[in-house]
Order: sequence, then C-alpha cells, then structure tokens
Amino acid sequence: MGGGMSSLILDMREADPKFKYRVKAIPGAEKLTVCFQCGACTPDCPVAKRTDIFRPRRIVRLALLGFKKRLFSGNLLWLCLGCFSCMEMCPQGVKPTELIEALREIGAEEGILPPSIKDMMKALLSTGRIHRITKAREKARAKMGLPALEEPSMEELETIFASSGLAELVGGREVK
Amino acid sequence: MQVGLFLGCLVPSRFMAYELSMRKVLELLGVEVIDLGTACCGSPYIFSVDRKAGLALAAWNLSLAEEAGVKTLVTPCSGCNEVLNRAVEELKDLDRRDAVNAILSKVGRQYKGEVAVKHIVRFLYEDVGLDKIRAMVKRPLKGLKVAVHYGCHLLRPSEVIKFENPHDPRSMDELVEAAGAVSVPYENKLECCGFPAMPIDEELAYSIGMDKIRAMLAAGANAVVTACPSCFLHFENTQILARRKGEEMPALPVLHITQLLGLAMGLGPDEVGLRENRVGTEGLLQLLGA
Amino acid sequence: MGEVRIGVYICHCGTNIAGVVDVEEVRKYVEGLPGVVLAKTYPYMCSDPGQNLIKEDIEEGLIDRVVVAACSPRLHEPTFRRVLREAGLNPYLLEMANIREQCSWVHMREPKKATEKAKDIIRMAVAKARLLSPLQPVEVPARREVLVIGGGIAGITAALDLANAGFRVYLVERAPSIGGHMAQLDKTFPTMDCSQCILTPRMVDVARHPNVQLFTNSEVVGVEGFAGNFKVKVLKKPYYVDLDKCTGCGLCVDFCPIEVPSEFDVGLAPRKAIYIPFPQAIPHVAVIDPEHCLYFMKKKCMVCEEVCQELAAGAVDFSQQPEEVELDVGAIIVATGYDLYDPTQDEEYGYGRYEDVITALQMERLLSASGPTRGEVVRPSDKEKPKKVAYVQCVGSRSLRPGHASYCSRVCCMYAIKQALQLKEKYPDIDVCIFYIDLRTFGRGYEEFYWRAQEHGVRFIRGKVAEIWRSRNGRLVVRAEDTLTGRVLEEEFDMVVLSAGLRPSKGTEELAALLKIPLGPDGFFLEAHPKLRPVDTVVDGIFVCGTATGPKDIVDTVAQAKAAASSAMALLSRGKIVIEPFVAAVDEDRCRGCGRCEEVCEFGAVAVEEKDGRLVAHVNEALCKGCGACSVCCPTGAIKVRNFRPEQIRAMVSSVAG
Repeated sequence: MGGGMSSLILDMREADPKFKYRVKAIPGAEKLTVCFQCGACTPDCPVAKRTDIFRPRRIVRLALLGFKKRLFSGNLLWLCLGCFSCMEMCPQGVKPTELIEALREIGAEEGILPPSIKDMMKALLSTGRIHRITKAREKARAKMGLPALEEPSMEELETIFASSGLAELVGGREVK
Repeated sequence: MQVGLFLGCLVPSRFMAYELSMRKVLELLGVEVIDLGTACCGSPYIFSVDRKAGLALAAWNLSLAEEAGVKTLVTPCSGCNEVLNRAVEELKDLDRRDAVNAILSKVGRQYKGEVAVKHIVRFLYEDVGLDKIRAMVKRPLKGLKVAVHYGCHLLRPSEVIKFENPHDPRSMDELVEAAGAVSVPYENKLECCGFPAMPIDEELAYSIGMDKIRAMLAAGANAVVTACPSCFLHFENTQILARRKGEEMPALPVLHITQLLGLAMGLGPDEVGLRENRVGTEGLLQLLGA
Repeated sequence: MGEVRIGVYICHCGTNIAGVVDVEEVRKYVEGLPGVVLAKTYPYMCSDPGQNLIKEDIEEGLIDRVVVAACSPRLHEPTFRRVLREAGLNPYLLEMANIREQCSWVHMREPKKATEKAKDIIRMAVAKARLLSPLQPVEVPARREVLVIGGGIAGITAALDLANAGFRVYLVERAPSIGGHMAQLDKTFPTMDCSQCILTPRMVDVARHPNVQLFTNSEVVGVEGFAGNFKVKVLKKPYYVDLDKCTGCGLCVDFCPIEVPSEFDVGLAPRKAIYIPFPQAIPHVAVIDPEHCLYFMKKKCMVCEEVCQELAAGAVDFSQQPEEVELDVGAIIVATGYDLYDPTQDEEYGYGRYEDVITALQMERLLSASGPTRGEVVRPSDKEKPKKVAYVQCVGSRSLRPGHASYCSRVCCMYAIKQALQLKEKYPDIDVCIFYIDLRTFGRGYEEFYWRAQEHGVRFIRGKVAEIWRSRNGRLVVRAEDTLTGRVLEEEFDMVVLSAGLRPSKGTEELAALLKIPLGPDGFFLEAHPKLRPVDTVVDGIFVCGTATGPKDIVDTVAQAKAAASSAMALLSRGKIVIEPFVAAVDEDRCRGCGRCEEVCEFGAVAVEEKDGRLVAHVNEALCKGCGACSVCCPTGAIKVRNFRPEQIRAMVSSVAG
C-alpha cells in the first residue's frame, strides 16, 4: 500500500488495537468501548457545528480503533470546550468529554501540551494560582474595600504537587 | 446562615466586582461568610494534564473548609464549581479517598467528605430562596430585558452536579425575574460561550461568542447576565473585538448575577463595582434611571 | 430387603468430562465401592446406545439401583428415569451424580483434583442410592377452566384457541372494551393489513363463543391456589350502564356536557364522561367515567339517564356497585400487553411543549380512517397538512439515561417505516425523513418492506436527534449529525413523530405480586427460560405471552399466545396434573400433631387436621415445594421429604466427611 490515491484509505497498520485499554484504565474514560456511534453527542457540540475536523463521535471512534497519530495531530483534542453538552445526550454513558481529558493526559505524558496551558500549570505550581495575583491587584482590592487575600500555604502545596507528575509534565515550575 | 467562600483565582484578581457584589448581596441577605486560605481549584484543565494532581488539590482545598467547620462552600465561579464537584463525586469512592488522604496526611490533613460545594446561584436559589430575595428588592429592574446565560458548568455534568435539568433550567431566570427584570428567551440559550477555545483557536471562540450575542440581540435583550467570570470576560471581549473589526451593533452590557441582584436590592453602581464593567454601562445606568 | 445391586454409569460427555476427569480411573475406583456390582463408562450416556446399556443390565437382572454420573440432572434426569421405567424398574431408583457442571467444567485446569472430586461425588451418590425407595408420582385433579388476563390480541388469541379446544375461558380485561392497542392501529406491518379488519372478527368470535365468559372493565384482585386449582377474585367495576339494556345508540354521549381527552385517541380528540370507547368496541355499550362525571363529582346533571330513559333503552344506572366474583380455574395466562413510553421528560424533544411533536401512536390515530381527523394527517396546531415530517427513532429506548430503558423496543423501526410508507401513499409529495441509529428490520418480509420505503423516496439519516426546537419563523427544527457524511445538520419540519418505546403496562408490579411471579430487570414479566420455555413462568400453571414479557410485534405475540394456550391445554387436558413425588410425607404413626411443621411452612402446604380422633399433620402435595423446613423442625421425625430423607442426606455426608 503506497501513497497517491490509496493514501485516502485508512491503513489499519497505523491502528493500535491495544490503545483503547490504556485509555479505558483512566477514570472517566471506562465506557468508550460501548459507543455505538449514534451521533447524539455531536449535534449539540458547539465546535462540531463550526468546524470540519472536530466531532466528539469521531474522536471516540479514533480512540477505539487506536489511531494515535490522527488523535494527537494538531490541536484536535484541545478544541474541545469542555462544555459537557455531549455527555448529557449520550445514551450509552460514554462521557466523551472525560474521554478527551483522558486522551489529553496521555498526550501530556508524551510531551503534547499547548503552551498556554503549560504556562497556567507552571503558575499553579509556583504560586498556587493559575493567574498570579500581583501587588497592583492587591492594591486594587483594598481600594474596592475587599478583604486582603490569605495566601495559600505553598509549603503544603509543594508537597501535594510532588505526589503527582504535574511538575515533570510541564517542565518544572515557573521561573519568576 | 454561614458559608465558606471559595473564590478561585479569576474572581478575586480580575473580576473583583463579582466578588464585591457577591459579598454585599450575601451581607444584605444575612449570610455570614468565612474566608479561607484556599488555592486555585486547578481549573477544568487540570483533569486534562494530571488527574491525580487535580484530585489531590481539590481534596486539599476541601480539607481547609472542613477544618474551619464549613458545611457549605460557596463559589462564584462555575469552573471551580465543576472541578470541585467532580472531585467530591469521585472521592465518594473510599478507595480513591484513601489514596488521596495518603497524600494529604503528608501535610497533616485529611479529607472527610463532609463539605458540599455550591455555586452562588444554587446557594441563592436553594438555600436562601426566592421569597427572601424578593423581599429585599428595593429597586425592581423594570425595563431590563435580560438574556440569561447559564454557561456550561453551573449545571453540567448533570449526573455529578445534580442541580437542575440541563435542558430546561429555571434558577437564573427566576432570580432575574425576582429582581423585577424580564428574562428573554433566545436561540441556543444553553450553548457554551466559547471561551475555552481562546488559547487554542481565537477565531472559533470569537465566532461562538458572536453567535450568542447576535441571538440575544435578535431576541430583544438589552443586558446579559452571567454566572461565570470567564463567560463574563468573553462576552465583553467578543463585543470589544467586534467593534474593532467594524461590526455595527448595539452594546449589550454584561452583568455578573450578583451585580444584577445587588442593583435590584438598592445598592449603588459603585457598591456593585460597575466601573469594572467595560461594555454598555452608560446605557445600563440610563435604563435603571441611576 | 436384601442387598441392593447398584450399577454406576460414567459418561464421558465427549471431552466435556473425559477431557478433564480420568473416567477410567474413576470407574475402577467406583467398582470397589460397597453395593456396586458393576461400573461402566460410555462416551454419551444420553444417546440411545448409552441408554440401552442401562436397560439391558436391568433386564438381565444384574442391577436394581442406578447411578448415572454425567451432566446436571436438570438436563437428563427425566431421560434416565424413563429408561428405568421402560426396563421395568421403578423410575425413582435412580440417582444422578453431576460430574460436569459441578466438576469437570469448573476445574478445567486441575485434572488430578477434578478426578478425585468426581470420585467423591459418585461415592455420595452411591451412598444415597443404597437408601433409595421406590416412589409413585402424585396426581392432583385439575380444573378445565382457564383464566386469561388481558383482552388484547394476545389474550383474545389464547382464549379462542382454548375455547375451540373445549376449555372454558374467563377473559378479564381492565378497560371497558377488549381490543387493546391493536385496536388503535391503522395498518399492520409488513402486510399493510388494516388492523381493525383483522382484529375485530376475532373480537366478535371471542365475545360470542359459548366457551368464553368476558369480564370487561374488570381487574384481578386476588389469586390463591396452585396449578390445576387456582381461586381467583375478580373485581367487576361498574359501567353505570345496564349491559343487557344498552344498545350502543350513543344518544347519551351526544348530551353529556363534560369533555376530557380521549385515551383511545391518545389525547388528540375529546371524549365525554359517558362514552363508547371506539366504534368497534366490544361490548358495544356506553360506560361512565366516575372521575369526570358531574353526577359523581357534584351530584348534578344526570342528563344521560334522562335522555336514555325518555328516548332510548333506559340503560343508565347510577346505582351500580362494584362486584367481586370468585372464579375457579386450572391455569392462568397473563397477556397484559404494554404501555407506550411518555417522552414528556425528554425536554430536548419538546413533547408537550410543541403541539406538532407527537408520538407514533398519535400518528396512528391521525392515519386511521376512524380516527379524530378521519384519516387526514394534519398538524394538531393549525390543522394544516404537513409537507415535511421527521421521525425520531429510539426515543426512551437503548439508553442508560435516567427514566430511559436500556433495551431496544423492537417494533419502532418497522412501525416508523410503515407510517412513512402510509404517508407517502396518502400524500405523494410529502417528504418523510427517518432519523435512526440502526434499522432493525429482522422479520420475514421486513427487509423487503424497508426496501419498498426507500423505493418510495422515504429519506433515512443515520444520526440520533439531539434537539428539536421552534425557530423564530415558527417552524420546528431538528438537529442531528448525519454520521454517514460526518456533518451536523439542522432541518425544518412541519411535524415531528417520536418513535417512543414500549414499557411494561401499568399495574404489572402489582399483578406480579398477586401471582407471585418475578419480573425481569427491564420490568416485564420473566419467563421460565428465555429460549426453551418462553411462555412458562416459574410457577406451574401460570403462563405468560405477548408484550407482557417484552416488546415484540404482532407475529410473535400471536405465536406466543397460541403457545401459551397450548401449554395450558397440555397441562389440563387429562383432568389431572402429575407432579414429582419429592414432597413432604407424614408417617402418621409418628406424628403427634404438635403443629411445628405448619408454623414453619412458608407455602401453607402442611396443616394439622383431625383424623380418626387424633391430630395429625397433612401435606397438600400440590403446594409443597419440598424445601424440607418441616423435616428439620419435626421433633419425632414423622415428616420427611421423599428422596431427601434425613438418613439419606446423612449417608451422603458421611461418605465424604467420614
């Protein structure tokens, strides 16, 4: 099977039939194998209505067949808004949103993570917040009559984060 | 009544008007608030990067509330609402809870599963009640035709949050009506605002936001009310961007739900932080006769 | 008594047993057990040659007790008992040893241990065989009347078959008329027979049959007894109309001032508080609905009575009372049918919010020439003919969401295609589009029927509809993904028909409790075995058929009704029922009439009675289930379960426990 005309054919050698078991092991994605492709998830998806490439139904299918390359190509998985509309409709309890989260996690393990998300996580690791609260902000709060914010204990949070792989995934803490 | 406050990151730093109006409204309603040294919830993205970290962080945050004797944790942010409630649901499983507590014990904490997390809208609707709110309304917002935007994470995923029927919610509409305004039905009312697409595909986020604004305008709305700082931000920015692109359309002021309620309860524009709102506030003030 | 001579036959069952258990080693071992005079193995004991092995050994006088070590007795115990009987030996001198389901099949990876276990199992069987006594089956007289609960096509079919065979039938129907849901249908798939045309002749037959007594507007409220002898209480609810006098002229209906939505027309048209259910109703009489009649609510009106008295038959009678009757029957057939799923809770479809979103049963009434619009299909909102109609499949079925059923309702694909074809025939220019997940057209002629629909231009889109709403220009919009092209589509329609699924009919739980039969996890009545005993229940003498056991089409319903009737006939035809003798028996000499057995029996099968001046326990063999509770608590050992006597059980236990 070469290139040219036949490159439109789905080459099953690219598919990894064991991939679905890896995905199934992640909580929230357990039910991907019962999807019967009814498509109820897709019509309410704001992204499916406006793009050609993103369909929750198709992502479940690709995950089931194990086409990792297609799944992790471009920003496909990160187009999901996380709005959960698909999950309200699925008659089989498949949870496409949580499946996409699981796939993103697998992608993150292999180094695929949008830079803006990486930045947010880095800020989280060093300040306990995804958006830092600057001195200027603290002043503005006081001006509005709002109480000063208690800073979360970074000492404790560092221990908490150390128990997960978060730091490795995002390439260490943010350097100030 | 006494509740703990979980402010998250966005509200206390960027949308202080939401925090201000929320505190003031709760004060007027006789609800005592307890501030805690909580951190970020991790944002919904945390489950897409490292689930273990997300659960541990949520349990850590919740353990602070439990330590302070808080039974109900109220949050103004739908994102925090979703993340924390998902964690609460998942940690009902004792094996998972034990695993997370093994991590928490390293810093001398435990999560016992005794605190409920509610969005401020849910707290006002279920715990305070419409009657009490109606009784506090001093300036009914007549003339305000509000497009209510529930957003995604106030109600969904419904099997975790179990608040209202996600296809037919009433809470925010009834709160708006209790304030004396009218809630206008509009097309695709329950669709997402589009904000989460911003870091990935700005055009997509913009087009989703614009579709919603257009539908609201077509239905005759003259204000939008939100329950989430991201939705608020997105509706304002979408309009600002639209004007920059040369789109001609009337300005649709966006209000946090507690700003709307605060105004109805007789608070002044400054008391609800209206200066922070960037779109259509003059028109709004005119409508209210302020 | 003399020494017993036990023959042990060990089945290989192909490789099922012999592939794990070393049958030759077991045979050698068994040969040496006390009482065993011969031990043989054979590949398939249940086969004719296998059976003959036993037969010949008995006929030659070599053995007088038989142990067969093979599969579960549930499969072939009757086979081997027959062999003993044919060879002239009492059939109850047989003991089976299960060395397959309880040995080779569950220990497939441990052949050595399995072989040892097989030896133990057979040793136990031999110990029991030594103590077997000849027994006779028990005969209980059986009545020749049958109760059929439910007057739809299933109940009517079963009743007719039974009545024609000479059995007396009581047909109890809860609605004021028989006919069930089939009376509401316009045409039936795939033949496009007019439903009323094929149903009403049977309705008339069953009403006129001399062997059938009809109890309409009636419900079963009490059931006692056992196969061959049930005592059933039926509550006859009053019509408030004298059935002998009423001619069905309908004058009372014209004058009644109260209108409520008609159940028969599924809310599309009104009926009066006094009404005749439908034109072909049987009995064709008026009935008063006391929940809406002004007289019953406020003691006013009574116009119907006046009018009937003055101008017609004087049949209205407000003084009627409910009446309870007791029926003695030999068997009961449950044919209670189904209810249609109510899609009101599925907000995304707008049923109840938008008038022009209807269920398929409502469309059936619109299509029907005797329906509320005389067969003109029009939109409920403005009575205009629709130009575009959408069908949404799998509404309330094939879904794990709350309030939905996980099963497929089996008939909706076919009925949607049928209605689509009917619409195309009535209105050649109409556009009909069916939104489906799968198309289940499985029966005879069904795939061809689907092909016919495609030929006529019915559109099919594969994608479950997610939402229906009304756009600003007032038209209904359907949104689904066309999964075959991968595009989300939105299309405007004039009407949307929801293919709602089938649910157990209301009152199923209560009836199951009365009859003491179980329901499946889907809420329908549970059959004894889904493949081999589809119309039996676990209670002898109670049969079930039609949609009462789950969604099915008329073809399968009628087949099952006939099967149930035939099973009832087989049970009752000889006027007696033969049951296995493995029930409790009382040694009257030892019994002191203390009554402990009566206290402990859950089935009410044993009672202390006076006999010849003494108090003695008496067992009702038809009710006794042989559980042995009485035997355990009997202080004198007077009451024992035949073939499971304490000494037999003790011998089995000692043989392995030492």
